[in-house]
Amino acid sequence: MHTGEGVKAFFKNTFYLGLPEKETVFSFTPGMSIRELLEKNDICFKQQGVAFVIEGHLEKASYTLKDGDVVTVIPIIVGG
Amino acid sequence: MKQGKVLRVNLTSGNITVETLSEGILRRYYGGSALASYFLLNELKPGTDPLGEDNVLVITCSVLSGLPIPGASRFTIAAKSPLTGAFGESEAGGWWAPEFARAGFIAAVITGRSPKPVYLWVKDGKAEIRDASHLTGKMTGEAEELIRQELDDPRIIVAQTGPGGEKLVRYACVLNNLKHANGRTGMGAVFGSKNLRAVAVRGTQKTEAADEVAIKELAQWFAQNWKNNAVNVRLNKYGTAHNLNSLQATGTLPTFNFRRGDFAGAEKLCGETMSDTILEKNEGCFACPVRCKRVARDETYQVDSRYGGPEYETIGGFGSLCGIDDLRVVAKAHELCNKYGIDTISASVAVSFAMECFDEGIIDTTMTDGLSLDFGNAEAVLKLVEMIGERQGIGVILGEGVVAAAREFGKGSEKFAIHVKGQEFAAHEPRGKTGVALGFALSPTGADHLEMAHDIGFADYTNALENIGILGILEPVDTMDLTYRKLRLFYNLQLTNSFNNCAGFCNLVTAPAFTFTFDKLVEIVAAATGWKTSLWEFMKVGERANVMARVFNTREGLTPADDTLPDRFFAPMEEGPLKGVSIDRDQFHHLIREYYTLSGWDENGVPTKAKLGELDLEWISAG
Repeated sequence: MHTGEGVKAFFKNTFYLGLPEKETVFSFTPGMSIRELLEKNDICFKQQGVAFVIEGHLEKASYTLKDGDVVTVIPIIVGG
Repeated sequence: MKQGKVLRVNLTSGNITVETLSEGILRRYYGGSALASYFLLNELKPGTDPLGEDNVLVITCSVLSGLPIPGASRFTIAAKSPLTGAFGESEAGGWWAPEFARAGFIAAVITGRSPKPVYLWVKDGKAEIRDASHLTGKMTGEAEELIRQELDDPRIIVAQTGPGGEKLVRYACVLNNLKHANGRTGMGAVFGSKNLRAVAVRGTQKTEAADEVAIKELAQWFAQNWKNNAVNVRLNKYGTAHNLNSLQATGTLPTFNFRRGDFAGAEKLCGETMSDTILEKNEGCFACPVRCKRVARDETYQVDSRYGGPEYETIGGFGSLCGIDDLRVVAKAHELCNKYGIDTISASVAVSFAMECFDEGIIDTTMTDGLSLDFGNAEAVLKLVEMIGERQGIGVILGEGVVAAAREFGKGSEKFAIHVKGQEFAAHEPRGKTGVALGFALSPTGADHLEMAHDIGFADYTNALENIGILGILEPVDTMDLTYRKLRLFYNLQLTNSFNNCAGFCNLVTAPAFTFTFDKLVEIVAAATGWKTSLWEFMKVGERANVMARVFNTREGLTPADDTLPDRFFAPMEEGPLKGVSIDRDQFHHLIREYYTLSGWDENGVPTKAKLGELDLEWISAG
């Protein structure tokens, strides 16, 4: 897994995503989307039932990452 | 040929008979919600007092009940609701339905009122009304123990209400094994009004499938594949509260009686924290390896683990909604509700309503037996639950539901009564998910969070979205969309969820988001019944159930004015990630009207004759 300067990603509650429980810091190429970043790191997220929240807003996997973004990965919610 | 036996019990006369349903009836209605509506529309007169002798209480399993299929253990209890005065229905999983099926029945229709407290004892094709005077006032745990002792069989499964139902708390529930609740719409109060404490069942007969080998293979397939579904894995590990941090992150965790959608103490309430603190073990329903049920214990509050543990709805309700950040308190509130036999969702909203009224100066300590109802006051929460269960003090008012309580409190308190059609909200914030908002507004039972799979699962190219390509929905739909895209999503998912309520499937192991895909569900029903079926037929069954419930409500005088949300949700959220977000009232009601059109209902929300005909429901009159 690549780490370094760039996007900060807090992968909370994502034991199934193949990531550490706590914060993981990824480096990325400018213009890269969340999807591209995860796929570059061999993380098949599509079937994992996750969504992404940045600054309190739900974002799609196609969201273009910005330097310093904090991405919270959450499981999709389909009912209580 | 598939047949189903119905147990008919007249509690006034003590007469018990058994009738057989034809395969035609079973195939039209499958069981659950649709079959219950079939009986209610045939046998319950409009205008009947829900707590009177003439209400009809229906318990329905399904054509799948008793077969070892994961997630197919649910059953329905239905009647006219004493909480809403409208269609009353609630589902529960657990172990009761398979036991009832093995006793030889698919349904029970219970009429009249017993002159004294009784319980119904059902075993292997026979039933008996037994005296329950000695159970009156007993908490559910003790009552269950006494029933099993006197019938001398620890394997008996008891579905019962508790002292709350006996005292006619309007949202009293029915519990099986003390922890699986037919929680909503006050079916426990209907039990209480009929002097019926419990239905105890024991079945030793084999439930047969058309293709036993296929059923076994499908169960094995599930066992081998459910761990490939990430959310099913999370449910296993953290229970339904696995989603709590997600709700917090998206600003949709109902807090302080829906004043806001984020709670500073959320981390202390989530499923992960429960696993690290009060969790004793996890349990499951019949034949299901996911085992998402929690069993909680705590020494400080003496939480009795016999009553299981809180689901997300209960944690959202007694937690963030009431400003409580201590899972031990939530677990105790849950235990008290299950002891008294009252719905944790309605009870927690009634408590948070009282707290907001207290905060606004509408009520004070002279009305609360000296209790200071500040948000976050754990002692007050637990005491209020006891007072509701015992119908003491302010608990008498709160036990009537928030609509009646607001009438009693006056002073503008109705704007803090968070309900639809008289039923309190489940712990979901409509301002962050418009499909849930539509579900709350349009559900025939009032605010029902299981009317459709929630929006966030379809807001991107997820596995859940992929699974509804079969329904013609191919692109993501934004969580706050209020266009035809959302209407199409809601309409289709409402039908599939409705079908689950008819077949007894659990929404948490089935499509669109979970392990059993729609194709697998078709295989299951075909193997169980021998019918050449399809998803199309499933959705028609689901629609039939929705339409019958709508007709029921129309007969009871409900109108489009009842298909709405409290004003709070049309106003901007004041704090948190959704600060400034509201539901556009005009757009929302436009979409409701378009839903009528799409559904084949007229401008008054009444199913047309053509729609009734299309669904083979000419026998009922919507007028």
